[in-house]
Amino acid sequence: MSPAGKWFVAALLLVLHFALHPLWSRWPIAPDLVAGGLILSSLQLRWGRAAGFGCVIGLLEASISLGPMGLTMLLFALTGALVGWVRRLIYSDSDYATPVFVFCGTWLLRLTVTLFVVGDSSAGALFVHGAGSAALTTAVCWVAERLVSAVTR
Amino acid sequence: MSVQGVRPPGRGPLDVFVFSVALILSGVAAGLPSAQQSQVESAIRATALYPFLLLHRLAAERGQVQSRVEGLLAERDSLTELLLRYRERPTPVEDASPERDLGGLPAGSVAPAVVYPGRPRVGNPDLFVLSGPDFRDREFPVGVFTGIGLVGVVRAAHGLGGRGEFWSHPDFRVSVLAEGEAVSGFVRPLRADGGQPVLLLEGAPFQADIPVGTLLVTTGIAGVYPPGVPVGRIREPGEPEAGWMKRYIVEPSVRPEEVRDVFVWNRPALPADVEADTASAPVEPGPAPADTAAARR
Repeated sequence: MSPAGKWFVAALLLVLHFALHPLWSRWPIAPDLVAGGLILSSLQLRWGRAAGFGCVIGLLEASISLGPMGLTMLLFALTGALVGWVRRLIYSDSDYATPVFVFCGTWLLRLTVTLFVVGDSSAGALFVHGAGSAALTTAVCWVAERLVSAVTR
Repeated sequence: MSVQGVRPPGRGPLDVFVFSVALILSGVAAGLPSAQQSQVESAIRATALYPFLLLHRLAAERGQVQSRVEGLLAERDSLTELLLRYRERPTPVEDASPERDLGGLPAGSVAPAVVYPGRPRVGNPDLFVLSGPDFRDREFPVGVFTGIGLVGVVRAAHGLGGRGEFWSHPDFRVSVLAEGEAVSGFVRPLRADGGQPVLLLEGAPFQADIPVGTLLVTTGIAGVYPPGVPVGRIREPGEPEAGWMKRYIVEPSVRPEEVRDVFVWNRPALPADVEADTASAPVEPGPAPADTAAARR
């Protein structure tokens, strides 16, 4: 897929996240589209700019969910920076590695948000809900990428 | 660190600068007082997030309209059921003349009204003021209900309207009949500690078991309410009353906080041959005279 297509998918996921926010917040296991959009964007950016992008997305997320602003910005910035840095570190330009990045990044972000923002340290919330949401997010991102790739081909 | 001897790109000073700015901004945001954080969040919600929040609001309003439509449909169905119940009532033997049709049955009529809860004394959730029909020169009490169930009773006139009590008022009582069970009793409000008010059915015979979910309807025996108005459904058995009567917790059909548009019952007029007979009507005993002798002592 072209870089423009990847940017389009990331923007689509972010718009869908903010548009359907009340729907996602009802269930403990739900696709975390903001994490998916952040990670797909960070894969296209250098690590420092990915941190800045994550900081902005964290500010928007804290504003719509009325969570702690600074902590959310910090966690999103660190996630973006980490994804961008690891991708550059291992030279992973393959599209096949994207689902791995999305799954691990989403799970990591959910873990830290659940621990430090929500304050829930139960194993179910950390591992079952977090892994389930990460798997769903990965599936949604993969389907969105395939659809956009098929349309733009 | 490098892979295959190639230094990975992306470690420029610009990245370090942007990363540092992101960290500093996060720290500044975390250090802001909550009032200023709220101001920042409000500014973002009013600008960048405004289209999304507008979408959320429109969706919520659409859901509320949908739920209101479903409530109105349920009320219509319940009113239809109430009407059918009236029509199925057997005609009294003395009224079984062929010239009396169903429309002539003494069922009375209803008038629409609007309930204003928490009035006339603001802060009392068991009272309401009613506007709509003219309550001057009316005989009180007057029953109030919706298509779904019993709401309460109007006790007195209040301006052109009336003032009354919801079923949750401690003085509220109504005679009820368990549908399909031929068991009757009295219902009064019960306010559990810290919970929402419910109803308590008292006076049910000990040998009769009323299944959970059974509908209780008014008997109309005292002439305050029309017969057949749903009052609530049996939720669970309560503590027995003096060992020979049963009690049941009743889930009310109507919650006071959900009520706005109601019906007021207009009792049917008495036939002309008994309406004017006031001489033989039983007289309520007046209060006992004060013991003036004891007062003097």
